[in-house]
Amino acid sequence: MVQPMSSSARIFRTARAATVAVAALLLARVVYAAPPAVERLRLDNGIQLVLSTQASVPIVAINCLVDGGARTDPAGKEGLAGLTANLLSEGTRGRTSEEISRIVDSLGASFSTEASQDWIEVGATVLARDFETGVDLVARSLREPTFPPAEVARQKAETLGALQASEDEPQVVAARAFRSAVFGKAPYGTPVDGSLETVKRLTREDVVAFQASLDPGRTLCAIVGDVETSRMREVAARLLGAWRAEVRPRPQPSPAAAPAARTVVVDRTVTQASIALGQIGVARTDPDWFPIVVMNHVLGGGGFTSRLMKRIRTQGGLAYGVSSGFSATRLPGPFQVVLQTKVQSAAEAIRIVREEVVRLHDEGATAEELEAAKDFLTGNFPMKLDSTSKLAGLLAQIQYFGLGDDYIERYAERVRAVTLDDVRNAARKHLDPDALVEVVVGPAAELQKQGIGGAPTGKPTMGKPGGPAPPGALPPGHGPGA
Amino acid sequence: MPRIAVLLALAALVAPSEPALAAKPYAEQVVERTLDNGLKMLLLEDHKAPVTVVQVWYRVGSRNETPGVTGLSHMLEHMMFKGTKAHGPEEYSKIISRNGGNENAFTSDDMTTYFATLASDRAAVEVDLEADRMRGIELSKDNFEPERQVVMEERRMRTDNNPIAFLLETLNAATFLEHPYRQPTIGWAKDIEGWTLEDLQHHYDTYYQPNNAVFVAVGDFDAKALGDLVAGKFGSIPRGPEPPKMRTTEPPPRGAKRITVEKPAKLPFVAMQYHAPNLHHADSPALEMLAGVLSNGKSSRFYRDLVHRDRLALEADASYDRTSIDDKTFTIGGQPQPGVPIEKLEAALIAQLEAIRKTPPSKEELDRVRAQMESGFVFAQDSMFYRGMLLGTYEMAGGWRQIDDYLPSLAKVTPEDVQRVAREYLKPENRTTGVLVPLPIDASAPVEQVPSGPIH
Repeated sequence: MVQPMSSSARIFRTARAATVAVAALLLARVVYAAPPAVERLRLDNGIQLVLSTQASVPIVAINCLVDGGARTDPAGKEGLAGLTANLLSEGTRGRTSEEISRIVDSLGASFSTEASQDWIEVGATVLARDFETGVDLVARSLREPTFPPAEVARQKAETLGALQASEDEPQVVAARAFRSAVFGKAPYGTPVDGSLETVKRLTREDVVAFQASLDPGRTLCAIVGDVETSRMREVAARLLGAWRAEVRPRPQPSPAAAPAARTVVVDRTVTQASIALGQIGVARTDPDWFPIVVMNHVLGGGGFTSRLMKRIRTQGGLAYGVSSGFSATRLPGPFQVVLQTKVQSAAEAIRIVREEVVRLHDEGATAEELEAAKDFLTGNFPMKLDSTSKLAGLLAQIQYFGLGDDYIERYAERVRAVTLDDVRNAARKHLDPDALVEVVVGPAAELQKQGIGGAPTGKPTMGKPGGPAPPGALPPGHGPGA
Repeated sequence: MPRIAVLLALAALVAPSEPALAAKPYAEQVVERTLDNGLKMLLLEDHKAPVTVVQVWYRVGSRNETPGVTGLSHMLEHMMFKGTKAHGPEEYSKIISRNGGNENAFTSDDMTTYFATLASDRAAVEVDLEADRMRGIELSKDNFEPERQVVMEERRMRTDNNPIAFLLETLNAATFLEHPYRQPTIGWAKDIEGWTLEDLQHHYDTYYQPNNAVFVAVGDFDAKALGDLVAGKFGSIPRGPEPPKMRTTEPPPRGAKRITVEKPAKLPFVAMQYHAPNLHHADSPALEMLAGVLSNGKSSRFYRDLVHRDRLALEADASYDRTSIDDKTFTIGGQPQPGVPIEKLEAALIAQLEAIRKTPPSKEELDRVRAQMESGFVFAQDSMFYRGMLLGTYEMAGGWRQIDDYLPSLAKVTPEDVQRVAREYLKPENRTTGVLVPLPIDASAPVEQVPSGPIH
């Protein structure tokens, strides 16, 4: 087995792009598996359940999403949803943090409580024999977290430390600066971890108040695995159904206004510039979603075959990877192109990205690109539900965004329905080449010689820790998702 | 709830119950076939979804490289997508994409692996393309130079601008005196500048032969039918000359070594590598359990004591290289909380190792680690790609059938075994330590001080 520590430093993946026409005879008809049998119901307390029995491996994945993630952090308290979520597993009624860890590890389970921009996720994967204990862990975290003061202090220190550690990851620094430049103080403007300034200010009272706003009526739990749905129903009703909350709603911040074009430089002594270009995109529920996915596939979502990969990597040798993506979010979220290139070629790479955004905006895609994108998206769909854990994640997202009970059945048909006009219209409507926000992390003086940025900003920004992104991948939470 | 009741509940959970899974051993599931030209096939039917994972493993990595031209295996991996006599540059990726597949490749010390995941009725497309590029690639200057730049960008991204990765690269080169495990898989920067097309062609002709490759497939297929298809597509490739054996043996260490790396970074980092035997040695299961006791999960010693209780570390890990072809390392590493001196974390990590060298772990600790390893093994079977990785990794290291020995071998490890291997291998004279010493990342960003220390 590959060891985690050495793998990040020593395992190398590769990515490429394509230029030559495909032999049509290689294209066969895709055969889909029957869609998974799914049961949906609502508990008395409002929790929506999405249940599916999958007996291929003796495990169960339990995946609960509570609406109201970092997107709803109060102004000046950015990082609150993230801190609250992390603390849900650091003490529940009658159990200390250490006791919870011992229970989880003694089962060999995986158990996590964390926030994303849109939701707080409480999830466990357990052996099927431990199903009830897994649901119980999740339910206790939702029902009766205790937030011991010592754990609050420790978790704050850990977050502050992680924020500083992430300064050594240029791509994370760029992602953070990009969020801030595009969304400002509005939702999605700050990473889930918040910033040094705001996290320092968070108190236990803030955490308790945030938790009191979590609403079973805005919660869904997807349970997928090797257990009969009748048992899933019974256990979930007993343990998750016992979550009775007197919900104290909090005001919801309003969405961001579209920012004007601007360039932000974060001054760093590195030999490779980390670049993010983009703007506000769309909500996951936008009626143009499928044309947008096809359009983005052509631009930079299609891995090795995209226009950006072809020009920047294959022809230019300018970057190891380049990708574009629209985030799947409740409110309009980011659209961004990300790449890393040696400092000397930063301006050239940015010029090519801009040219390609303009070209797609003005001309749309070609008939051949459209067909290639549709072939990929429809042919690739079976791989999105080929395991218990992937299916649990997909079912939860379908439910969260209200994509319809027939989403899996109708996916291919919806992709196939996208026309060249749809792609052209989506590009005109959702790409604005004149209003791109540009973020470059690199040595400011060098970049200035290439005409990037004015005076150095001097002010560094902080980011969430994470491993290096694989080629063609966007930071977590990005990409077409469901 | 009173504390005593919690403990009783906990005891009930920890008590051994029925075996987690009555899963069939790999030996009963995998079909092994070897063609006359030496190509070995490992075919594992898994019908949970209409999907097939294909992986072609070549026994070549940075382990087979020599000073001056390090990184050739990885560069060749990139060039494998640049066209063959039958298919133009980049056509491979385009065909796979048109068929809805995900494709990629990776290179490590020991191997180079190409893979694609497709709907099962498209698997033949990948078989065809892999057979074509096993002996058919065409190397050209036009494709070579831009790709060399791509690899340099990859090196900047992964290593040069990542202070921890850079430290580990330097540490590795200090840990091994002679064995090529001292070389970075991506290659030293100056070596990347110097490769020639002739170097690559020679590497390709030496190692890309059916008798140096293993074809692995996992998924929704009929093993007989897929095996026949592979035999038809690859069977006509002639057996190549046997690749040269890697002849280096690392001399035994004679005392503790230490290096530092000074680079712009926000926080320091410390890592310690100890030479350790791989899975062929009888001590291997105990070393695996030792790594688990130290850092597997939030109840492990490193997390419980160093991260949670004493707040010395943001993270602390132990990792054991079990499945390398030659003996490699047992590595300890950690990043201090801001404000904690790196010396203090280093001393705390050493104290943790000394504690286990002095006193065996408890039976409860070992039971917990075994439960984690067992569950982890079952969870991993959820991914067809991972099942293929397991087959290929073990086959490279000496034989896929050893997969079935993994959990039973852990079951036999006693607390005294763990103490004994800690004494045997985690001793100072066997250690190389690396410390990242941060330089300012820019003029205006001083390191923040955050309160730390025990909270109880």
